[in-house]
Amino acid sequence: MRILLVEDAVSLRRPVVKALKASGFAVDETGDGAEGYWMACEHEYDVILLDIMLPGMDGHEILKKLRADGDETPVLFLTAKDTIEDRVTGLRLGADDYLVKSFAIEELIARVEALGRRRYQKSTPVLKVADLELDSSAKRAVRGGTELKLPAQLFSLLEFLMLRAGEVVSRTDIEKHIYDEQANPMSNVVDTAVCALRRAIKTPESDAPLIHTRRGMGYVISEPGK
Amino acid sequence: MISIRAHLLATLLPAFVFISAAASFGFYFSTKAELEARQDKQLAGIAVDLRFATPPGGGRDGTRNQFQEHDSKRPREDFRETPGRKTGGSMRFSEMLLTNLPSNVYCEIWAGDHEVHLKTDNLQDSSITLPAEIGDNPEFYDTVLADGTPLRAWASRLPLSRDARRPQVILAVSRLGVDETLARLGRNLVGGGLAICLLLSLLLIFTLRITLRPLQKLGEQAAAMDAESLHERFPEKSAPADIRPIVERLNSLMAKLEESFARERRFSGDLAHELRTPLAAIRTTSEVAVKWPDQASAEDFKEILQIASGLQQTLDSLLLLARMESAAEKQNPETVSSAALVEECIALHAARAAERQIQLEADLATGAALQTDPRMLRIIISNLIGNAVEYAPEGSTVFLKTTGSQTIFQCRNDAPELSAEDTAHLFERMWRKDGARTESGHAGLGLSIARACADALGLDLSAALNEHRQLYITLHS
Repeated sequence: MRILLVEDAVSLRRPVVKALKASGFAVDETGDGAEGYWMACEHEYDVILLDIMLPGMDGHEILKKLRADGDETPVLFLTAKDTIEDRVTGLRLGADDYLVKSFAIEELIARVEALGRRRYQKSTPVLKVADLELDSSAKRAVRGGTELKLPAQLFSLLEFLMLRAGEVVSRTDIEKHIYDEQANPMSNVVDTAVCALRRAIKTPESDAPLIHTRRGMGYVISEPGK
Repeated sequence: MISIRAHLLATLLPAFVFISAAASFGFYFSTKAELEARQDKQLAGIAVDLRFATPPGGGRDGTRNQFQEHDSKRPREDFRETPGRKTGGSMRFSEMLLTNLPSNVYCEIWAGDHEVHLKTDNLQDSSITLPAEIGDNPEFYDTVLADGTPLRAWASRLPLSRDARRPQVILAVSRLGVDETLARLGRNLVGGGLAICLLLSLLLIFTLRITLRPLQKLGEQAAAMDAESLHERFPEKSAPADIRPIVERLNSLMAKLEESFARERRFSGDLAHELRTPLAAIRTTSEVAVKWPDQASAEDFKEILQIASGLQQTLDSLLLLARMESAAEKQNPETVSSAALVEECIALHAARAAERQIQLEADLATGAALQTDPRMLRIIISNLIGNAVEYAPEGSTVFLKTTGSQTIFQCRNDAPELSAEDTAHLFERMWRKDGARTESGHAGLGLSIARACADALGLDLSAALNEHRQLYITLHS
């Protein structure tokens, strides 16, 4: 999943980005409100994390503009303002969640995951395709009883495909959601990653192919033979 | 606590009842007096007729006797002589008197001392009670006949020169009509009085309710006010003139309270930001280092150290401000040279000024001295210079001045981003022009501390912005 973090306090932004990346998210970051709004308009994010007091344009304003533009990306406010009034204002403007500083990083990651799932209408963190199970909360993937060892990026790719199980996912979509701005992936990077993922989800007990190529369109994950 | 309405009702209702009762009594007794006077006048009139009546054979002036003219008015049979009484010439004259009386008049005549007793027929066997003594002056009195008929009576001796025994005459008329009229009037007055009292009470209650409604409404509105409704105001236009000054005053107080709450709310929000953001940074950096040790580096620890120092500075400033504001700081006045103090403070900020290429230009009156607490004055001057060095544009000049007059110290610097409205907020706790409160190492407490110290020393610290966007902060005695 691709996340946008708009937070002006560098001292906080840096460790949050580290934690999100370590959890397998692709993260874009900025400390300026106006730039954050521009990035949210330019890219497709799964979740946006917004501070309220920001230079350039405050968090409320960014959210208001995004919703006015028809952008329904889940937004989580990350702020020091903790009064009921502040929370209500944020939620009424269309925010999906609210987290007061200081917070436990685990909680932030869990909330980001929950918002990401909500985007794909999934209420449970456990995704299942045939005998392949992925727990996005525990960051665990199991196939036929065998736990798979997946690097963070492959895990994210698998999660993204499983969130849209049965649907064809284009290379562009994968690029947008799995790689952040800095990565600047080439198209064959996606193919290579999918190839690596196919190998990684094969176990001695279960090696039926689950990821199928739809030529000229993209990839789809589904039960064998479907 | 008694309400105004209850108080007015408790005062006005008994007053209405008293006034109604007094008016009723007054009317009753004046009517009674009037009716009795009328009866007395009637009796006196009859008595006058009797006095002017002449004895048989001609009047004193030789004219015909009025009784003779009216002989036919009452037949002789109307008069009864008390059995056993003697009759004489004078008696016949008295009889003549009786014949001319109107039929509703009771009359008794006594010749001498109870020797002759004549009375009108309507008295039958009854007698009119005599007063204790009858003199030449007529006496009016109330009495009752044996059959219970109330009478208004007149008694006197007839001034007849020929009649040596001076007959005593008692005239009376029935009081029945008068008493009935008075009883009816009394009933009407009591009933009418009660009805008027009731109507007045209802009118009073209704009027008070209508009149006091604005006051009641004001009270209800005031009772409903809380911290969340400070933006609301009491309606001034619709308020009656009597309570308008109260409403205006309340609205003015509400505006001040709202401003004060807004300032406190802003301060709480700013304080939360100043404390929570660095705390969150420390916590998150530490958590990431614990959870993903491979991601941790020495830079993280350096960062944590830096943030902790900033937090420490903010907390120290807040504590200093709290101490100054509560005036807990004891003053130790000494003779202080303001110029020396300013030079000392310039030295403190020289490094930061050099870093930002700020020129500090001082115009100091070296002889100027004042009696004050040097420690607190140093805090003021140091914070003012520190603020100017931090916020003046890079490469600009900050002008510092001390004088021997009322202006103890003045700091002037370019402030292109400030507006005239901002000068009102400059001394507010944690106020920063940058609403986003971007990390800068300054919490925005310096000028608040300077103001609190000035207040504690009894000095005046004010800020003004001139047309060239130069900020003047001046410390006056």
